[in-house]
Amino acid sequence: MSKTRSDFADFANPDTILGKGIEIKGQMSTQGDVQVNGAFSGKITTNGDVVVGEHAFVDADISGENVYVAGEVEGDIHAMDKIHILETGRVNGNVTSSALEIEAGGILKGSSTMRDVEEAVPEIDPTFEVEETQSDKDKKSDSK
Amino acid sequence: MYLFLVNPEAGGKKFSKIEKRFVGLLDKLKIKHKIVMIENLADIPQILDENVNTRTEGVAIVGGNATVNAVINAVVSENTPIAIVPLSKTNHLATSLGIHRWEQALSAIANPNLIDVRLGKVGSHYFIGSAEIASHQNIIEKYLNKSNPLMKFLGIRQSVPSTQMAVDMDITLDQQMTIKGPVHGIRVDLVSDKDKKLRVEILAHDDNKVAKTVIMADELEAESEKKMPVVIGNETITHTPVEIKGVSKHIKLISPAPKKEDKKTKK
Repeated sequence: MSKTRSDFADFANPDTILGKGIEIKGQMSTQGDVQVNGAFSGKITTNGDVVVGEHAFVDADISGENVYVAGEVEGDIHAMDKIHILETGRVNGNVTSSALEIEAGGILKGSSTMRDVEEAVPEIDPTFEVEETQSDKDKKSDSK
Repeated sequence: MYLFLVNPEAGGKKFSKIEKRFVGLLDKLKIKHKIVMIENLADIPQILDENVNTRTEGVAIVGGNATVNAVINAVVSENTPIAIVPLSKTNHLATSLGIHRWEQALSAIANPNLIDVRLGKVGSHYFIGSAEIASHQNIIEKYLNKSNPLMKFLGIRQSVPSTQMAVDMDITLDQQMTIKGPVHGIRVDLVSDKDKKLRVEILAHDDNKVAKTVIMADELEAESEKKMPVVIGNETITHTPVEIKGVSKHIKLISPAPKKEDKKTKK
């Protein structure tokens, strides 16, 4: 779901908040929404949304469903759905997404690749259900 | 039948003083029981092996923190209900369940309310619910703010702690992430429905404000410039450096009946 600018001030209950005042480094791998308000370096991988707040600095590659940038990102961004760079946002890296929106004032220094919608659909292994017949059951019990 | 494992040394050898009343109440509440004295905590696995059988309805741990930790470590089956009967003042797991006196614990066994809980570990101590790491000053300030009736009456919010009250910390999560900086406190909550077992909330100091960081993790290691107490309930369990883990083990704990009945007994 697309977010408006006001959402950046109050991202609805993100599972992960990387706040100000501390230095966070490393690999972040999670399953929910992530909001970065402070400084982070490393890598962020989630199947939820990622919001880089207005005063945030992220020195990391980011992978998520939708990625909203109001602060600064040094690294590549991969979004399954949309990347939205707001007027205060700055991305120094390559971006890959199904949709890209850059507001006036927003900066992208890097290449942009549009993901094919089909590519975004996860591959599912075919599964087969075989109904067990009475003769199969008999064979099994015989073998025991 | 309930197997009562009693630590006779707990609470200043309290059991010997209350034994008659204890057994009297068990009989009055019609709790079938077998009481085994623990001479040495290391014997607990053997005691359980010899005494727990198909007729055992549950294991009641009578003692303090050390006894509780030793028994939980030894109880292999997650289906054996465990009751905690506090004898000493240091029994934070009993406190977390709302059990403050041994009589309350026996009443809970007579009318068991089983709860399935995920356990956490602070060092060697098991805990349920949450644990907190905070500087002494912050704990005192929090207590004063909470208990000050004038502030409550005037609706004054808790003041922002000063920079001096923040302690430089070095935190590692899941051996994958490091967090450094001035921290007022850390709260760790056990969560049962997430892929990660702990919800770690770090309150850092930024520009005269408290900035919150929330991260899900399985384990946390924390070191600090000054020693910081690790508190469970109202009890200081240990100090930093500390390791806190969410344990995969679930146990069935016997807790008191729901609140309504609690209120009645208070009256």
